[in-house]
Amino acid sequence: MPYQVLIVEDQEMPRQLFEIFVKSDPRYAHAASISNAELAIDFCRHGRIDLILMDVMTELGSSGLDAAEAIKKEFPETRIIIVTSMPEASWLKRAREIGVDSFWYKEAQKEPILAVMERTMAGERIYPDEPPLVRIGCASNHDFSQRELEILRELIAGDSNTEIGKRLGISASTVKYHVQNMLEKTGMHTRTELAAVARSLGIAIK
Amino acid sequence: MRGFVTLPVPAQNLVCFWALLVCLGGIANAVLLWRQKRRLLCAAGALCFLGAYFFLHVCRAGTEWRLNGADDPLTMALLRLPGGVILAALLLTTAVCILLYRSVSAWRKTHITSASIKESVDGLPAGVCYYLEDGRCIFSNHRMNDLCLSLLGQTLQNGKALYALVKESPIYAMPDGTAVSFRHRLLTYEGAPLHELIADDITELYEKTEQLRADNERSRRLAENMRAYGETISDTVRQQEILQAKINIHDEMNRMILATGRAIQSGSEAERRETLKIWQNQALLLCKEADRREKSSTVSDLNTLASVIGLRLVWKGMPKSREPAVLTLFLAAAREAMTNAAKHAKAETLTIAVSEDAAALRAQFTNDGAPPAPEIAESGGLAVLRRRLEAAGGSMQIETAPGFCLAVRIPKGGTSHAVSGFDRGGSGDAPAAL
Repeated sequence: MPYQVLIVEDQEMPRQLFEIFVKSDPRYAHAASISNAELAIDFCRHGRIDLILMDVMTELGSSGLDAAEAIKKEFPETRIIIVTSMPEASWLKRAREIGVDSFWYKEAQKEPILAVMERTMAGERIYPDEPPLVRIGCASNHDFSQRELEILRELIAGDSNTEIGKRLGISASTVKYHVQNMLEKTGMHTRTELAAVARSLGIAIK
Repeated sequence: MRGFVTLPVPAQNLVCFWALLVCLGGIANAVLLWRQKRRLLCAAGALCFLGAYFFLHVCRAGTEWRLNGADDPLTMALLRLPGGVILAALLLTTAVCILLYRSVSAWRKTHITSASIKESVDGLPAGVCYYLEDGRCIFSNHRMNDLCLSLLGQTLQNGKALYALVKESPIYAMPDGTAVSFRHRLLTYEGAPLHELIADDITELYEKTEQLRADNERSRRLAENMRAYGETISDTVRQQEILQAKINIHDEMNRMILATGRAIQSGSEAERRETLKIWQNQALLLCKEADRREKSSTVSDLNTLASVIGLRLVWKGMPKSREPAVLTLFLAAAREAMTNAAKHAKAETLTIAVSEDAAALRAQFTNDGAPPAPEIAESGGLAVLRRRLEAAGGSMQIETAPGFCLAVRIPKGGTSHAVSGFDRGGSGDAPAAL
């Protein structure tokens, strides 16, 4: 009996692509495709779902990671592969924490999705070592420290150093120091430029 | 007769002139030392003067004696002193005089006088002024005079008038590009009130403040831009994702075309069939997509879910709002209605009636299943839904006859004012049994 696959993807094109892949392999059956991650759990409740291909940023801002967490709690047997094109490093970490089975970067990963699906169904957990390399100014996302990425995430909201510091539990001057470091690494001139570019590249998403 | 009088007359005159100089020097020293409040040295100066004066007196007396003879015994005794002694006395007096004068100038260099105070205060960048209760100015410096001239248009005479002007707004930007800040203090001097008015030079501070204000304004604008950017970013990213996906599809098609070309040229029958099947799948998908694209993905998601549950959805109107907050609540209500219809009522059809105006979206979910007990306990999903709706300023109503009906009102535009007036009336709290 083929595995029932649920596709959670709000973009038409990648969704079509996943459907083509799922339908091309007789070991999988396409159960349904939806845009909003919040609904995924309903499909698990009302029928058998063996595997979910889950995007992170889905319709109406609903988070695929939140949905995956709820599903893993209620249906630990259901395998979940997070598929995303955003190199946001914290997602990788969070996916591991909530027990997502595999993680696949849409454009950057060499291994085809079908191979990842096959290994995941065989019980393997497949995670890329790190997010795909994305150039930002003179640096890449791999050049940023954990703390810098945290600050970058807060920077996107347009908050002041004091507000960011308060949220992360550090002083405003420390925040300023890290921001300055990032500006030097990337060769950018303003924090606004840094935040805008980082967000649009998906290096940091709040 | 030996002594001074035996000297030749020009020599006598020269000595007299010398004594006159010492006499004047003694007076000057005494006066200066008196002003420096050094009384002891002042007395020494005075003694110099007296000595020199007495000598002059003796000279005059000597001349008279030569002419008329003299009887003053003291003068006679002095006149009889040898010339060397008189010369030595005069020399000593001169030396004392010079030493005193040097002491006076040395003291001047190491001590503060009122003139030196005035001089140094005049050099200050700040304006300083002290005036009495009636406004009479007793001390002021150049800077304060200049300030007064530019502010009042007259020289500083009345400190009170200047203070009255600067009392309300103490900071002034002067025409020469500087900025000053006035401050006032009431002191007591020798039992009488003394007013102190000081104008601090805050040019640099003022410029920095202006700069800071401009910078703050700039960063506020940037933060605003950033926020606006943050709001539109998900759309932008989505567009980029779509573009990337289109590229992928394009590449996929390309690959398929190449594979097809190969299959046609050299492939086996089975291979050609396989290729044909893939093309068919692709075409089918694209057709389905074109059909689906018309509807919002929320609606299509709900339809997909309904088909899995085995429920038929009848739409009477569709949600048109694109606000994520509104659609999220609508989706939550629809999920709840679908779960109830399938689980409790075993219904086949769920009718969703949606009406919308500028203020709110109203949706009514009715199922054709078995009617529930007239009093249903609102717990679990329904209670959560009510809390979410009411937190957003919306409302929710449940009717149990003739069938189960869930009605929700979701306000638009993120306003949170709760409006209780609902289509079918009644307060939202009681599980109404109509």
